[in-house]
Amino acid sequence: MSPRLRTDGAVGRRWDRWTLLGLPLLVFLALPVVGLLIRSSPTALVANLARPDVGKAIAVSLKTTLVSIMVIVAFGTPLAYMLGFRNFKGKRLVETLVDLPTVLPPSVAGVALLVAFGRRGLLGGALEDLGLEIAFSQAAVVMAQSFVAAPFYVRTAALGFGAVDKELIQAAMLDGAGSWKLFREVVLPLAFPSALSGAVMSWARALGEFGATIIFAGNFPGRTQTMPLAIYIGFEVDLNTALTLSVILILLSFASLWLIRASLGRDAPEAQASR
Amino acid sequence: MLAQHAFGAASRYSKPGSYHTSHIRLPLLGCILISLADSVISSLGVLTYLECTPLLPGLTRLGPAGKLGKVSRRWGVDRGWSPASEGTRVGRRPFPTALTVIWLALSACTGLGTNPVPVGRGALTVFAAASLAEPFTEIADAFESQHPDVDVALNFAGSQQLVQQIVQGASADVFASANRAQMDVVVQEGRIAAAEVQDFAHNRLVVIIPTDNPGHLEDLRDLARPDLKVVVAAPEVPAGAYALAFLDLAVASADLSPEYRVGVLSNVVSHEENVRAVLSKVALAEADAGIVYASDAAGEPRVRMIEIPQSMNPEIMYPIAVLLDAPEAGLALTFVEFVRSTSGAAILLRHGFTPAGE
Repeated sequence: MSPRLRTDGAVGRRWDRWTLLGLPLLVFLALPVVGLLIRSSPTALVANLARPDVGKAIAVSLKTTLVSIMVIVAFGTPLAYMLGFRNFKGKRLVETLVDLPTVLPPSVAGVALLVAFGRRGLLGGALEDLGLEIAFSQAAVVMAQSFVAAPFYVRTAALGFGAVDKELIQAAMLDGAGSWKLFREVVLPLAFPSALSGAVMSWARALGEFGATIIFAGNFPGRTQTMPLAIYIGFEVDLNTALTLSVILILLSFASLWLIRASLGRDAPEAQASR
Repeated sequence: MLAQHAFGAASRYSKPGSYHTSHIRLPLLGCILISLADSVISSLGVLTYLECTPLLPGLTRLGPAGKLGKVSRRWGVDRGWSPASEGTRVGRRPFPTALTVIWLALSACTGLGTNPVPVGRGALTVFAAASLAEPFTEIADAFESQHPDVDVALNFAGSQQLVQQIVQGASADVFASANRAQMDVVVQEGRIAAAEVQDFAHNRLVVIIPTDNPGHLEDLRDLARPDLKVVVAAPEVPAGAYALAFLDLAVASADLSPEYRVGVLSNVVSHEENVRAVLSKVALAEADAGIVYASDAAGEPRVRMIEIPQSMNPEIMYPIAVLLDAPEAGLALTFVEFVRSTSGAAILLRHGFTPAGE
């Protein structure tokens, strides 16, 4: 039973009870993915990729998620910066608000977006006066994705910003660095791994977005039908389309998450855990 | 009284043998999140918009007719067995405690699976198309009050989803489909005898518009006017296939021009994944018009109907049948007879269906 010290600091043997207890969840998480990969043959995958509806769904997904992640980073970075550095009254409230979309069922997010931005929503009248109709457009897809995915970026980036050594910041300020210079040359480089991993998590979440999109943006092939929507519609008639898109979605998500982990080494998880 | 009813409804959907019991075996976190979301929803006051929620597939499959109202009532009950506080007790003796947590989690799940049904009681599992949710809930209640020793478990979903479930081996007694094609799939799979299938109701398509009519539609012809937003069900869904059939019939008729079909289709902004979603989008006035079943429009005060003449209305029959391997075959037959009886017909009529034989 005596634990031996390993070089990486972890205590225990390779097959200790923690491994055994952790195994069921690991198998549970892995099995459905393995099942999907087994059920789809590479030839069918290639054949299905050539189909116009599958191609359209992939194109819509890539386009909207890229716009979404740009929007999220552009507007999320200042918010994360503020949450990372400032202490103010009601900060906890703001943080909770930012976290809220991650616990809302996506369909509720979709309904909430409709209530806010739909034709009869809070801002619907004002938007209509401006000639903007959001429902059923790609803008609606981007909004749905941004709504559910932004918290992943803001939270992770804020943690990264908050973890920057305060003495470094003070030193930089003593040397006369202005607020922008401080951000660009001190904080951002140090917090970059966190921000990047947050952005990738956020993008992966946007890629998988389903419930809010189908409610707020509807489902029209080539315009608002993203991969998850095509998978769902496809499941009802054509399991092959659904399988193909599922496998692509899994490969894309897995590759991006893996890449980010590999490129960041061990930094990101520690930054995440240091809350 | 109300709570009692809610519990009754809840247990009805979590019976052994009923297909979606398996869906209930969500991780505990799910229970907590959903109950949290539950309270958020109520506090946001968006309850009036909840017809939108059948769009979420998980909820649709969990719940009857995809009504979150009922789903959340179910979760309200389920919260009772959620050992949400377990996490805080992990501490001094991690190994046994962790085991306890796992055991609790497992027993919580299986506890639901082996929901105590008193010995001798019949449990009837009915798979019915989503559009039948309202009349069949009422029919099941009426049937249960006639047969106090019987519990009817209802599973509502799109017909094509139900077919998938049956084909994948789900155990059911009765299947009521929204069209013949889906029923035929089950017949071909050998789970239902062709001779057993009988039509019990028909339905018709209508065009619906929001009551304040933002698109200024007056009659059927206007549906092809440019710059309208029209939502229909996806062609993969029966309601969507019927909408296309209507356009074919409309073009073939003398009243509407051949360009009508093209005009309407170019107005379509969304292929909704079920017919109730079409209804929601129009009821919320997000779309100017939609095409749904008369039975859907009948229960929604926020929409107005524009009738489609019978000559352009595709024939929409609802077939029902007892499955060959029904665990409660005798009871199932009684239920089918009840649906086709005058009391069943009265309920169907009240919900906008035309009972077969009228």
